[in-house]
Amino acid sequence: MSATTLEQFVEDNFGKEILKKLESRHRGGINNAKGNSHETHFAVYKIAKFYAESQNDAGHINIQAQAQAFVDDLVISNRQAETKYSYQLKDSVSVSWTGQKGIQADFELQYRVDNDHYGIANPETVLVLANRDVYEKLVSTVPKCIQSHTRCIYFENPASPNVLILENQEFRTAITQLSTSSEPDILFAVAQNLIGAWGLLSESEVTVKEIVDKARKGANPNFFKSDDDVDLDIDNELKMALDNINGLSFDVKNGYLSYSFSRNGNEFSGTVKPRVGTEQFRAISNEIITNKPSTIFALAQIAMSTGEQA
Amino acid sequence: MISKQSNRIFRDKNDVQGQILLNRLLESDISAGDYRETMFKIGCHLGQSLSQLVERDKKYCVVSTVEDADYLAKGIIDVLRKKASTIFLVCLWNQRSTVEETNTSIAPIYNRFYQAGYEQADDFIVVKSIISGSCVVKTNITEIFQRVQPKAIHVVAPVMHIESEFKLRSEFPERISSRFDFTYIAQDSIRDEASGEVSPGLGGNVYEKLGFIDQSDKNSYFPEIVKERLSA
Repeated sequence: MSATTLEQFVEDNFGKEILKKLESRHRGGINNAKGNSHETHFAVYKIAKFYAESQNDAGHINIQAQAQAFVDDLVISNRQAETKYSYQLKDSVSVSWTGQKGIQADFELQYRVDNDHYGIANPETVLVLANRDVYEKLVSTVPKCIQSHTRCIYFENPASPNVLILENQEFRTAITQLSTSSEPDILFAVAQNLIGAWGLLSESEVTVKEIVDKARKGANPNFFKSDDDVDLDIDNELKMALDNINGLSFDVKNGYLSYSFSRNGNEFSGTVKPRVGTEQFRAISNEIITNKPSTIFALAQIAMSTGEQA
Repeated sequence: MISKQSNRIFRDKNDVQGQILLNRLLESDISAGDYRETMFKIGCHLGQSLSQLVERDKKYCVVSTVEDADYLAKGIIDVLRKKASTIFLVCLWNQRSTVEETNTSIAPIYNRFYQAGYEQADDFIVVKSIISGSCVVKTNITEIFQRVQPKAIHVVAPVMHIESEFKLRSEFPERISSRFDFTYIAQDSIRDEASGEVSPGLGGNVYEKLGFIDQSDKNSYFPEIVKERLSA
């Protein structure tokens, strides 16, 4: 990274007019970002994806909305890995690479800043489009001068993240990797927790890990997968009590005990609300062991409780 | 009671029976037993309205929340059975809460009952006693679409908030929301933003009115219509 400030670098290399453009973009971007669901949902998708794929490196991945930059909607960088991705999001039918409001110039400038000022060898600039027709048009016409560092991707902008869970397989996969279950009701809860944490922390540069930790901490109920849950299991006594019920199968996955009962094709399934290992789970477990329910109805009466008063 | 209903719009102003039944729910001294019975009757009444949409050769599946299963949903099923040859049941136990940071409701499903053959149903009938923010209905329709692709989703509720239909549709892509239609008796336009409760709605907290202590209590309940099918 060069010793000068970003503003000085831009003025020295591109002139005063371009510096004014950078400052004006930054002010406008902050105003526009408020309540922008497209940027929020995309940020949450990226947070989940980077967190899941980075394993123990999430604490080194910085993410910032409305950075002071030419491509400024979302910037994700990893100083250790020397990677930087700058995203511009557009939900409009009037987007073009060139022309008076063309985005090619901003992408060129951003590459120069990342390369020469920040010293990143291979920074990427990414155009994220919400309109399918615009995407089809622009993805095949990326100008040659920015092709080496530019990608164009489609990411829809529905009113609700529920639509993304139903329709966008990549979004769904990213959220699933953080969740205790792949069921959409659980994914929606986790997505909302991430949106909430991002809303609280997005005003400054934070790490992906800080956002996921914040979301996990605020989640109630908490459907975030945890490394601590990997080896969790239930006691043999509880397993024996559950084995008493004909037609019942059970499984411990990502910290939760789930069970399923089938008779003549009719299926009843459930998840015990408290996580395995909690005091509330132990209360439910003890009641099952003590009462040894022999029918699914007797078991459900215990297993469906919260464990608070069990 | 009349003044309480000033924001209420009845779908059919000539539906005297529907108005009488909803008014009964608003009576302050109504017992849990009478409330349940009235809900069953409302289910029968809505079932009559739905009958116009039902075709004898098609198969249907009623999707109910646990608290509505033995009352509202049973009333609907009892009436539809006279017209439709096959009606399956799905029952879901939703635990509703709010993500404070986004002020968004979530309603994860902790227990599920699927009657054998439900996947053969052409149309699904999604039942809820009251639709306010549409969170529970959204969750349950999403659940269904993970497993099957119904030709139509009939959303049925005695009372809906006036914005619920729009809200619910906006939770789904057009390929799904285009399959929705709505059957209800009345729409209310007042909603308490803190509690999310519609006014006059169904006269208060439906769980408590039905005789449950609270949400946890209703989620420990095993409906009789589920027991019957699971014991068969």
